Amino acid sequence: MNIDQLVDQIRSNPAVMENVTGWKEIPPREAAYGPFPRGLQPELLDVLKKRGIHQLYSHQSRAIDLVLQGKNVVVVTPTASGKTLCYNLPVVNGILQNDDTRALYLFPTKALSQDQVSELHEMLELLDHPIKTYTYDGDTPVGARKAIRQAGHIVVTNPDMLHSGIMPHHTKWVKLFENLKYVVIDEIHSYRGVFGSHIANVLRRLNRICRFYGSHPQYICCSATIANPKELAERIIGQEAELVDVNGAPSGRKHLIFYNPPIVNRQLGIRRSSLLETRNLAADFLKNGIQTIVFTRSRLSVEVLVMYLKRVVRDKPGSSSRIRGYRSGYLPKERREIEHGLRAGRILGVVSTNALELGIDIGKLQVCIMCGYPGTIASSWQQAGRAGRRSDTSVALMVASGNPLDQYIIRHPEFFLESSPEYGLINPDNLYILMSHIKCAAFELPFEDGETFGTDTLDPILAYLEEEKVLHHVGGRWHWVADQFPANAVSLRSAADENFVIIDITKPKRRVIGEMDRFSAPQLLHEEAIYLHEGTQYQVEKLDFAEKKAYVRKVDVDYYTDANLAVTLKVLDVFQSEEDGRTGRSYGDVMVTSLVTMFKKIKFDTHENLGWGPVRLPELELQTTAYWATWNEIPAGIKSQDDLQNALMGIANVLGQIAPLYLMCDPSDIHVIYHVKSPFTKKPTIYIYDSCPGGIGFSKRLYEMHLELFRRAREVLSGCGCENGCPACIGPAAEVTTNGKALALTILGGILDDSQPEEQTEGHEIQRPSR
Amino acid sequence: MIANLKSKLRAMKSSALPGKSEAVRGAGTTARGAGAEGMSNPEQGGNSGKECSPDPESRLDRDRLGGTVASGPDGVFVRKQTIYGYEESYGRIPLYDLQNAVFTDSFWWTRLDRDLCPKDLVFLDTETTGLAGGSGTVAFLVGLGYVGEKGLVVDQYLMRDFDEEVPMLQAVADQLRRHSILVTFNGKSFDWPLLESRMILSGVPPIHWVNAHLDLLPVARRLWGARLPDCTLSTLEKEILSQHRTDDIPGSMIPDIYLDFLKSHAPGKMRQVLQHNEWDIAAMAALLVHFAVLYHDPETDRDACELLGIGKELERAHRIRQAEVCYRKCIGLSPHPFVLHAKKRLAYLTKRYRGPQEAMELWADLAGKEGSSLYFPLIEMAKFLEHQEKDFPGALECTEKAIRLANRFSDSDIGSKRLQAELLHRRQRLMEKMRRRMEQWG
Repeated sequence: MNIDQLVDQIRSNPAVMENVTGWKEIPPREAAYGPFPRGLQPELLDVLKKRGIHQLYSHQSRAIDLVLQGKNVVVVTPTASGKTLCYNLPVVNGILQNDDTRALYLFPTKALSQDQVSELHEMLELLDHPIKTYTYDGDTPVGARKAIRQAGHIVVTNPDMLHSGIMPHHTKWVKLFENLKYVVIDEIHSYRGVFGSHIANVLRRLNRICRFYGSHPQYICCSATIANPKELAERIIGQEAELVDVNGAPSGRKHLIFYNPPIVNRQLGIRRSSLLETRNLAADFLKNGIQTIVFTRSRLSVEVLVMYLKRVVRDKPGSSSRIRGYRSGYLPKERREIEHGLRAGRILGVVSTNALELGIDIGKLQVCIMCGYPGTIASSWQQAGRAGRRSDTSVALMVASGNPLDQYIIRHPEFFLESSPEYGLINPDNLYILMSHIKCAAFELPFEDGETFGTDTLDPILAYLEEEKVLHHVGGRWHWVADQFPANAVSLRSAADENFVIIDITKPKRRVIGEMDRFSAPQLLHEEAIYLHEGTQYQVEKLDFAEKKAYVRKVDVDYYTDANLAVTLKVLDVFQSEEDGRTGRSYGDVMVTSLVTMFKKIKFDTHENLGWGPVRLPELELQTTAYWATWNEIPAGIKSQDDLQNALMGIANVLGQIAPLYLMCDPSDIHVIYHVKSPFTKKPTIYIYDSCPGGIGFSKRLYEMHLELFRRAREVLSGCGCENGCPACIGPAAEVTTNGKALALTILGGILDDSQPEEQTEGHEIQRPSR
Repeated sequence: MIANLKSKLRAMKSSALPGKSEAVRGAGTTARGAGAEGMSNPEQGGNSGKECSPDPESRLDRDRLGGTVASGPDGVFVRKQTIYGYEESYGRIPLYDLQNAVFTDSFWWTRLDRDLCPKDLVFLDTETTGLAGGSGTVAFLVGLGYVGEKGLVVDQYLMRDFDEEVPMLQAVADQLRRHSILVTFNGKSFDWPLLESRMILSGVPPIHWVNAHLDLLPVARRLWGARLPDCTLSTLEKEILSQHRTDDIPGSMIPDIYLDFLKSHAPGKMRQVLQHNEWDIAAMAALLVHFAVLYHDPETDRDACELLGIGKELERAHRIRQAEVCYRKCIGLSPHPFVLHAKKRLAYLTKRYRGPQEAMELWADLAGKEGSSLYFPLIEMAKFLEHQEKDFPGALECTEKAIRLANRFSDSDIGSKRLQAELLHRRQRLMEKMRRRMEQWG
């Protein structure tokens, strides 16, 4: 059977269609072309023709034209729409015009930089002009570094290396910084949250160094589809940028299918394993010889699925296999071989983590199955983009897992079809992050009086650093005087380098299985806690609080632990606040104090209390930003204090699940707490605060959303298949009350319009299978 | 928001955060050292500090640090000049030799492409705000030494604050440009890159020392690396130059002293920093003289370690006869741990330049002693006997001996698997050759 026949077969199979929550057919699209912008060197056009490129897609043409006009550009395009040409052409063109021209390429990962360099080399080989492109990262041999510093036209690196390996030694890179004309930032949407806030500061430093050497580089950024690509890019580069987001690349017919595994235990809301469902769905395609890529969320499930699928195609074990796994931890040579095998069609199926999501060239496959929601809608589109040949039908299929966010997404496929709800948020002025980079910047070049560093708080910070004997102010300049190398103390991937490491000591060979932030550790990693990791139970044997290490051992027990966390939240400063009769919203600085005093052992299924134990850990303080909403009146349906408590608990749980979707963050990046009567507002209040010290910009966005957020919460509640509330919607409240769902809906009614939510998806293109 | 920034900053400080590693370095140890101790140098020939245009606003007068305020086009800084007369010695090294002919024919051991000429040399040593490197580390004091009419001139350039850095670096660069060979101690990886970086930052045109930077550290390592616990300048000064400083400050304290000086502008321990830097320059000059004398006349009166080091350097420069002399002299100083190395070098050198026949005696000597654990002479002998002499039984005997050694030391690297395999292979081949010879004759 070919792919169209298979699609028809699925569509006519009621057993499958019963679980399909949405099905969208995207019609094929013709390519839209644009002219080669004026200003491109003739020899470059010749090379393009030799490579079979006779015209540009419209987005390429537009982006290149803008770059040639001297503008900063953000290009938003789907996977494999030829975005690399958008930056390679103007950069190479610039070097052909003036051999002194230099460019810096930033990729979020090393693997991606290697891949881009080899692609660039192919193009450069056809030119007569020698253009030198090098990757400069931790793997670059020391012997080669000097030559790269002197002679590399295009230096490809990652933000971490730029931060600690290049900029603190900028006097060795004079040639690069004096002539830096282009800075290319690929996958800019991945620079959000803490990482993005760091990157924005790294670029503030880069811009300072360039100014010192008299250069003013232009930025060319590429982003996946998010709600605010232009805004995110502008905040990161600290300058205005032009947006190019109309894709001119052609595509074939595409089916987007959303699949929710059937419920096997109605009472507990347990669904069939997404792994097994994925296996069955993939099997149909593979048996018919259709090239398929399966994305999963963990390395472990990659291995399990590879094993399942090999059985399906009756593959012999060994490396000549037609079903392969692909994940970090594989050797580069092995990866290249798999990539090539996929392009050549020798490999029929590949199971991958998100390692293959980014721009690595594996050609185009026919089917993509996502086992579990990849975490963001942008990632989902990038993964789905792996399937889709120009002339052929393709299928992208998402199989939801049981976790709450997956369940929310799978019931709302419209998120994929309307404009993206995902905001890439950063806060470059987070005090902790800003302070780190002001130190690095002062080390690189003395600050001069009147400099701003893109923030209004520079002066007091400089004065503070002088008090701390890090800087010395004289002659209108702030000089670095400490005997330190500040960049080494700053990791771009975390705000405060204070994560706890979780070490499995079951086997003599210890291994690190995870990390947890400082503020969650006391609650989840106290001694005797049961810690769940990829479905396996571990018991914490020892928590070394000073060394930030938790030692865990595998166990098989019939209970889980629940630590009693006493959280007090104190509002320090209100940035903005507004009342509208029924509700108020605010955001500002808060101090969160948490203390774990004891924990309970709770039996699975029955939720019996099996005993308790004390926890002796220090109180933790977190200064961060929060958004909060208040109820000015309590609706009539709430009869008692208990009702109110249960209602707020339910809402808090729902908000914790859906807010990450809009903030484009991990559920653990925010915390939601409720006060029946807040000491600050004197009213029932729900607070949502950032887990990252100093805050990362989530609270402002939540403040802007406010009721929108609660409307979404109401949708989740009314859309959930359970009767009176379940762990997937109202969470723990379901355990303590029998009418939690009704209470939660009632309290929502207290701040939302009384009219029921309109069925947003009605009349929409999505075909919902009739039940 | 700015209003409560201060309190936030304080709050940040109290919670343990990365980047807060400004460890309080030696706080309290930098109590002001008053008085003029450490300023007088008994070997100092006289303070002929040249008068530059004095700065009336000077925050520091010449009596207190011993220098003068000099001014350049972009501002002022402090310069101090000290002369070590040729009649003096530094430790056991007479500085008279700085003018001596010992530097003719020095290119081969300096590994530069030309001979040293004393008047071309400029010695450089910096004192810095730290060892971290990168563009944020500053050389606040630069000492330059060069050969003057009356003796070794040490010019020290000090920035009393950061606004004096540019004029100071300009003056340093001007002086450096008058010389063609830079001499440093560990300056290839530390002092020079750091100073170069500061010059770039200050807009002072760069100076390139192409084949003209002599770093004394590797030269010292070649001579004494095997004998001394380390090759720091202070160790060499004590052990080699027999110079003992009094009232010197440890280098690790210098960044903090400067930090205090920036705040107080009280000379205090800064005088000791200047003295420390001055001594370092003098020590470098003395060390270079000592090298030159050693290499100029390698055959006289050297200790075994030096003889071995000089011999190796001679061998590298293809001065075979002299190398042989050095090795033989070293061997003559027996018993000594370096003698064995010298014997080995001599044997390989002889084999290479005089032929394997000549080396046989040396191999036999090395292998000869009962209880010797050396297998390589046995292998060399076996090679010679097998391939040159065609003495298969003789070669086999040597091989068997080596195999016994290898077995005896099978857990050390002497008895490595690879060596054992090689030996067994050699034995196999020799037996085969002997069998074939028997067949021919039989």
